[in-house]
Amino acid sequence: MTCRMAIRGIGLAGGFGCGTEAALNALRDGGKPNDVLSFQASTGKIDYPVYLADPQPLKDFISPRKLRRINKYSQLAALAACLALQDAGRDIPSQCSDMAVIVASGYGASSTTFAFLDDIIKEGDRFASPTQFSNSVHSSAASNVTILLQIKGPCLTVTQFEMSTTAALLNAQVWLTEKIVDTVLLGGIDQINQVLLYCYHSFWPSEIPQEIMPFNYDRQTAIPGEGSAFMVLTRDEGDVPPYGYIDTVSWKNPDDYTVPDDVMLISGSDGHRACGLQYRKLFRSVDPGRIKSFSIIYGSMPCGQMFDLALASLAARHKLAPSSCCSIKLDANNNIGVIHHS
Amino acid sequence: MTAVASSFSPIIVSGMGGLCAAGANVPEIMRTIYSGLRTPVVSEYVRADHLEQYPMFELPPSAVPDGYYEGPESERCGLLAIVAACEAVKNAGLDLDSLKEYRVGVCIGTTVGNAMNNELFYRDFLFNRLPGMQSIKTYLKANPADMVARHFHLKGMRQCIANACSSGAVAIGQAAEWINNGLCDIAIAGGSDMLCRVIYNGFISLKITDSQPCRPFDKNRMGLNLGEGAGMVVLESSRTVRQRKAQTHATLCGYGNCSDAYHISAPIPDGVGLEMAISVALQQAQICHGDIAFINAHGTATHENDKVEGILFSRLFPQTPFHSTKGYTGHTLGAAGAIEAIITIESLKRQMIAANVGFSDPDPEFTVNPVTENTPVAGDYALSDSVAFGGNNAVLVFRRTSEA
Repeated sequence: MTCRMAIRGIGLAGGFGCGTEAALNALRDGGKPNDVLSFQASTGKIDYPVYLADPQPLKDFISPRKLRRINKYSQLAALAACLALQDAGRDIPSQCSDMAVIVASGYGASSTTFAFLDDIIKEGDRFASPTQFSNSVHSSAASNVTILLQIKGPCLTVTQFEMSTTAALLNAQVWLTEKIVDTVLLGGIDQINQVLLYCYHSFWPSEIPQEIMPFNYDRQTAIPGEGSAFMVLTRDEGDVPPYGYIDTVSWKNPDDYTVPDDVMLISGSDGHRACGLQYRKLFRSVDPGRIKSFSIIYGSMPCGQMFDLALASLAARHKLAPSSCCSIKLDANNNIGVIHHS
Repeated sequence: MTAVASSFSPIIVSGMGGLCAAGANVPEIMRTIYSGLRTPVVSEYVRADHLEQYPMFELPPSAVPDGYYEGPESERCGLLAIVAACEAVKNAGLDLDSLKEYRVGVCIGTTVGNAMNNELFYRDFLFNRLPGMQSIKTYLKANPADMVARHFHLKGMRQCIANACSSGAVAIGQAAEWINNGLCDIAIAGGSDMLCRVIYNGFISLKITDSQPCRPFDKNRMGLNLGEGAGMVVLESSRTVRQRKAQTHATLCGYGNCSDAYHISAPIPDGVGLEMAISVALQQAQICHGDIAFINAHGTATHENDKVEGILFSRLFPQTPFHSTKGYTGHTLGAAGAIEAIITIESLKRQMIAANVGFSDPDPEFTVNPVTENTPVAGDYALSDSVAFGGNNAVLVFRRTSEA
């Protein structure tokens, strides 16, 4: 029997800004894309709306000298991790050594991989950059978090597209249940780039969305987002944690799953029509007033469920949403990640 | 890190499968490494414009039989995982029908198998040649854990672990913890990786590849040889094994995972992260250093990696025989920890470890040396360690079973 997990702190960095105040403002006011990136398509230059995140505030926690060779992907993860630890009242790095780090990512450090390929393609194989290569691996964010924050416990990077957050939380739950560690610093991270936008436009060329419509299941309205969301998790220690509990985490299939009828549902729908059809089927008998989506705040990204959970916890703490909810994320392989929060 | 009060329960390895340059299946791999043969070659397929070409341990295209392809979206890394998983599942006495009776998890480590690194696609994008989406569709379907789950019609939980070169070992350790915590009954776990130009150029840029066959732990070692392959094990609880009357290759009785917190591509010189991972794994197995009959080292043949392991083994395991098998397989990255776990189990069963091929001159920086010929070992426990980019260290401890 796995334990329930207490949420001690959260850290957020996304298109809405960074930190809980920025996230609260977005929860109250709604969100929208904050920038535009351009790329070349068959029809000419395309300007695509995006949710871009800025890692600059990391300099408030970590000396810029230590960040010189660290890519944006890792910096975003480190920023959200620092914010979560600060929010949980943990000193950095003196109270970090014993904890575990788990990072969930869909696309990994693909922007750095492309930067590595830039050198090879433009300059030749002999000009491949060792720094770019070292930072291009999926695990670079988790590794850099352990290095920057001097964390010496277990470390894990999980990449399972939309199911990454569910899978990561299952591992955290196991480590806390087995008392391998007392604290898990767990986060999701994804980064966007022009290649990703080109792919979005190539797959869905008919329209360039201006806003995500998570409940319009007939249209492709996904707008790529980037950012990082982290949580400081412990076992239930008997007190009341500031952001409540993750009661259960489960991996389900639509064939044998019925959505709960007694809590608010946080839908992972983020404007992708292919998954939207599955969401519609799953929620067909649910009162629409009971379903909420946060994707308009942070954008469309594989690790979006981590943002859903963090934003739901924050909203509950500040009485902007009920204290209990169920986060539901679908993937393209007919899997459902279900997380109950109270 | 504080002492661990873990409740890790032993998990049984009931099936094994693997392929790499040393062999197309587990018996072939073991025959090769006991024979002392190795076949690094300059690849016909993975080339670059460096002044020197570096040998690698490459699988032939025929390593993936035609019947395994499921169309143009079948990516090679996942296919290697499927081939190894098929051998492991069959070896465990399972098949498509019997797997349906259990909650089966899939946990696979990789470095390349989940990376969006298609060079041809990106080259076309870079020069505005408007590439098509076929390679992206392949990437989106290429997650090795998903590919294995699809092949066996599995609907349970799965995950791809991307912990760089410790991924295979970590995947086995995490899957064991899933079973321990009742998240699944049986797990197919391991690692898979394939050679490609990104990896080849990347390791050359780090100046840690040898232009000759690699020499793990040798004083004159010049770096690693890359390799490709996959290793998969079937893990289950003793209850499921009894229920199925399944065979038992060995018991996984300890798993440690700790971080150096030091550098993105170099191990911490004093090996403190690896030492802690070893300590955690031994505590979980409820044994001490002297109970380990032998060690399958990470032993990449890079100067820094082997130095850290050599210094640590000199202090912690001064009398324990050890070897690196990367001289036979190459460094198979995300697959390495899993392939080496299988070699460790087979060696434990046979009570014999293979010569550390490539070693001749002792390194004066440490006081222990790997075995230079096939060496009998005596004992019930063996340890396999993996050291990864970013300072992730993973250790697995296996126990020989009475049936073995």
